[in-house]
Amino acid sequence: MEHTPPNETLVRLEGAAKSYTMGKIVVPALKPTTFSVLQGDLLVVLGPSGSGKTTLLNLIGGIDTPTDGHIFFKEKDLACMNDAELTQYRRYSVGFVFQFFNLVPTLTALENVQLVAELVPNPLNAQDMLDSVGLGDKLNRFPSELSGGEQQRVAIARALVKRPELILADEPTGNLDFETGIRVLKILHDQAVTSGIAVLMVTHNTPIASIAHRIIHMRSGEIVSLAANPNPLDPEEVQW
Amino acid sequence: MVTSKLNLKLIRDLRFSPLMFGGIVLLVAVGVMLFVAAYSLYLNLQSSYATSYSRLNLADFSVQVQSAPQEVLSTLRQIPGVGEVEGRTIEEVEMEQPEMISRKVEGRIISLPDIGEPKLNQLKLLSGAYPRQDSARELLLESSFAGYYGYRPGDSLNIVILDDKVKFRIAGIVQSPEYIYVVRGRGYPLPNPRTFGVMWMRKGMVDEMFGTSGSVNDVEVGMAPGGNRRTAMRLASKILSPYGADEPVASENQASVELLRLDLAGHRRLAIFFPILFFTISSLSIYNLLGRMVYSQRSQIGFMRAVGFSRLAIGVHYLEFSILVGVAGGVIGGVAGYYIGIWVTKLGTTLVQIPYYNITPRWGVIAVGIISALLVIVVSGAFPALSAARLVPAQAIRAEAPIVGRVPIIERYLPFLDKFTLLSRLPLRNFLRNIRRTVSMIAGVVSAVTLMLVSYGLLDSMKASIDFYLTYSIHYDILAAYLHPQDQVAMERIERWKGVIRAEPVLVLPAKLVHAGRSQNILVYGLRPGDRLMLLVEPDGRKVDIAKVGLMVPELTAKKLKLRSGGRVRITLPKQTIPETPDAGATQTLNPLLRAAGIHGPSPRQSILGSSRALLETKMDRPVQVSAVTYQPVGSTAYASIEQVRLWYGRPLDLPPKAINAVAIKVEPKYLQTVERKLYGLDGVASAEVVRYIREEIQRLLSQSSVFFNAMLAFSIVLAAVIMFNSTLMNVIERTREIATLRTMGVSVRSASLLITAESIMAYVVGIMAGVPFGSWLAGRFVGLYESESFNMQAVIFPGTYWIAILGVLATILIAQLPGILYIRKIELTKATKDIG
Ligand SMILES: Nc1ncnc2c1ncn2[C@@H]1O[C@H](COP(=O)(O)OP(=O)(O)OP(=O)(O)O)[C@@H](O)[C@H]1O
Ligand SMILES: [Mg+2]
Repeated sequence: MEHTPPNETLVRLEGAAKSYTMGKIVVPALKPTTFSVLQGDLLVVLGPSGSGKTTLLNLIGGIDTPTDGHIFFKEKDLACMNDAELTQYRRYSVGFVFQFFNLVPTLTALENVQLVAELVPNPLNAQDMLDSVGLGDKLNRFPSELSGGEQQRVAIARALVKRPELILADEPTGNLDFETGIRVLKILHDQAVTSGIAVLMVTHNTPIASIAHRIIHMRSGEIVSLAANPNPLDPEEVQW
Repeated sequence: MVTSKLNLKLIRDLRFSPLMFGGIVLLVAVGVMLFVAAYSLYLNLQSSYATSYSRLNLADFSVQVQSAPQEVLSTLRQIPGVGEVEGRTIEEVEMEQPEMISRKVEGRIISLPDIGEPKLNQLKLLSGAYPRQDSARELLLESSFAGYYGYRPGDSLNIVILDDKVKFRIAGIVQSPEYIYVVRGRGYPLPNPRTFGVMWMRKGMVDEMFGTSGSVNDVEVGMAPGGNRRTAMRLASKILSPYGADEPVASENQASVELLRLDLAGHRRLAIFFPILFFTISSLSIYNLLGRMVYSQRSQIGFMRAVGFSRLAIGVHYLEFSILVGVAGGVIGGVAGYYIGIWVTKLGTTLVQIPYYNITPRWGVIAVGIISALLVIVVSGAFPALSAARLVPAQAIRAEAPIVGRVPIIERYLPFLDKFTLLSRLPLRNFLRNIRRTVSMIAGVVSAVTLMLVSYGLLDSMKASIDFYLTYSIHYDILAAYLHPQDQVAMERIERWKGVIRAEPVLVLPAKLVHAGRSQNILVYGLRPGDRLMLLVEPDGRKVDIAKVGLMVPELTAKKLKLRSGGRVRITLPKQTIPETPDAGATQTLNPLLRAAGIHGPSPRQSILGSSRALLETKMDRPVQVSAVTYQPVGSTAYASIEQVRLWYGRPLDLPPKAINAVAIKVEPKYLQTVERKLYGLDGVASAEVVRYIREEIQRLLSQSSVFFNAMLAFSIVLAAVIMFNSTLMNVIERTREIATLRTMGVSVRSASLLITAESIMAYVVGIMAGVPFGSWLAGRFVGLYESESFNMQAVIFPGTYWIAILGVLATILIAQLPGILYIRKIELTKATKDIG
């Protein structure tokens, strides 16, 4: 299977760390970490519960701030951005996909996607996005009328519609069954491979890592390994 | 005990949203406080009046007569059921006040028995002593008048009797059950110690001055226990009719008694209405808050039920919240109401002094206030508690119930909404999603607006009616009145004075109108058609000119006598043309407000009859056409062309052909005082009322009541603030996750805050659209309640009041958003996006 090899650096972490102070004890959620995310990268983060995966993702996504070190997005330091700049960053550059979908319950599938499309000057077509995730026939359903997998696909469409450069997905398949999980993975995978969007995906599920270009292993707030995957599988070939 | 841990949860939950519970406690407290303070004041005043009436033995009824021999009193004593009968002589005089350079003060002399004290209408001696029994020139002075001028026992006072000044010594200062509210009589809405005072003298002294020896002109009757007053009144009327008796006046219709009662009745309505408003809103708020709390804790409830808590335990647990809120609000409000009640009562007693106070803590009122608050709150909280108890564990435990989205019908019918961004349409969706919250927000706005419009509407209507009277109806600066009818040349002479712009002739005479079996005493103003200094309007606001023929009657009289424009009415002379005592039942008098404010028109007694009593035999009785019905906000007077009045009264009263007894004068402002002084220098001029002084006096009276109106404004702001604050914060807390998600998508804090604020604004707009008409309507109803013989207020709300209500509530709502917005700022995106419940 062919893909455009990763080229330019999109995100660069330099000793980025996060710790929580609880009373007198300092709990490191993420120890100083250095690595880069490249354009068109498909990175999968693996690790046991509490190892700092979500923390890493949140720091890169600009919804959390490091207590130490730096995170550069296209050589701009997130740590130096104020709230308004971080908002702009999230709006134009990042797309989030959550484990629990987090759709706006009072908006239909289409409206949920449109809502985000309205935030940027030249979004993709919301309906096309939903078509491409296979929901072209459920545009006017409300979240409560959609299955979990369908909701997650709406969430992905929502993340993609504003043409982000980076997708951050925290256990996007965590709440889905196998079949649906594969569909979701496929969409994310195709984005990285065909649209050159960098995808950083957190999962508990080791087999999923086989679709990645690179795999990060974490333990106790540390990256224990970051390795290239010489033979990324197509999502449809994954078994778990 | 299982419940102890639930109590821990209760305390933690209360701490979780202390401001929201605190807000409701505040609402409940304000409601209870208003009720306790206002209703206690009502009861305190009522019982103070009652105590004063009974301790000072207020007569059960009285009859005014022209003049009756004292012997007739023993006949009256024979009437079955009658206990005490006393005859008095009451005379109106002028008093000289050093400070009042040019204006005169009206005094009323009431006779005392020659020996001892009266048995009926006793006086409470505040200082000094009763006048000696011999012919010493001593008197007792009513306390509010004495207080106004700083008179003390031992001071002297000059009384003008038939152009003679007589010097009296003030023996004592007293209060009287007949003059708690010191008004001249019915039809006078306001007391004014500056221009009216009451005195008591020994009968011998009165007789010496007025030549009334052996006769009385006022009969006071007290009933024996169990006596039938109605029969006694009828018999007394019959016995006294040969002496020119007026209708007997029952004690409750006595001027002061009636005005105080009307005042109390209005007060009582407000004391009930305003707390109800607060209780309603508190009830909605607690219902919502607990409803949302149960909703958000459904998985906890499911868990608790699953581990073995009973339904009852769960229900009681949630009920405890409302009990706590009800008790806290009730007790705080009860205590605050108790103290404020005392304070307000004291404030009230500086305006009206009551002989005997009966101010006690009204424990019953406090209990009723607290219990009703508790009841309202517990009942409203019972619904969510019940729904908590009814939750099926298996369902409840399955985390949050999905929020069901729906396209609101509005959006389908308003396709243009498509043009708006989804972000801006989101508030509408949410607004229509949680109907309970929406309804309570709207109700909060409606209540706040209503509260403002009702309280300020009363003030505005009062101001507008008076203003209408003083600026639309009255265009003169001075109304000069003569002691005796004059020829019109008197007016023409004044017209030529320097500084006088215009003078118009007026002939004012008393009349009794009879129609449909009812009658009313009224003053008839004769004006020259086409004159401009006194203008009239019809009830619908159209101007109406003085008709050459017929009589123009005020709306209230038309209603009472069932008169219509074009119909006929009988005009006669009142039985007693001289209102010997103004409380002699329905003596309609010249511009009551003018007189109350201290400027006299012609006193009918002096101007028409002088000291002659020949009128008694004169007959005047003729049907006249009602040419128009007029609107008069203050007082009731009829109008006709001056020629008509001369025609009707000329012969019976033996008037000169071109008779006038008053002159309306328009003056250049800088000559006002010169003209006023000059008028008093004229022979035969009894008084000169200056409109500017009336205006100032009214201003003073209105500003006294401003405390009440400002307090109401503050309370309505509290009302709006609490409900908006609670709804907004609840809304934000419930939607933390949604807002956090939007934020991670790149929606700024400002947009997110606007989103929430927009919902409040929608509630505000709907609330204003409903509240303004409702509040205006209710204000009209309240104003209508104050309609009386002397006030025909039109419900008016000034544009300024609408603006205060509309902008005041808006400002309150915007400020109430702050905690919610602060919360949005503080939402931790990392936590909020991963939490599921
Ligand atoms: N707000 C917080 N306060 C204190 N400690 C925190 C906080 N948030 C996270 N942590 C700690 O930081 C560490 C890393 O948490 P993180 O959520 O990144 O783990 P994770 O790898 O995503 O785990 P999981 O797979 O269970 O989602 C954990 O030990 C956690 O207890
Ligand atoms: Mg995680």
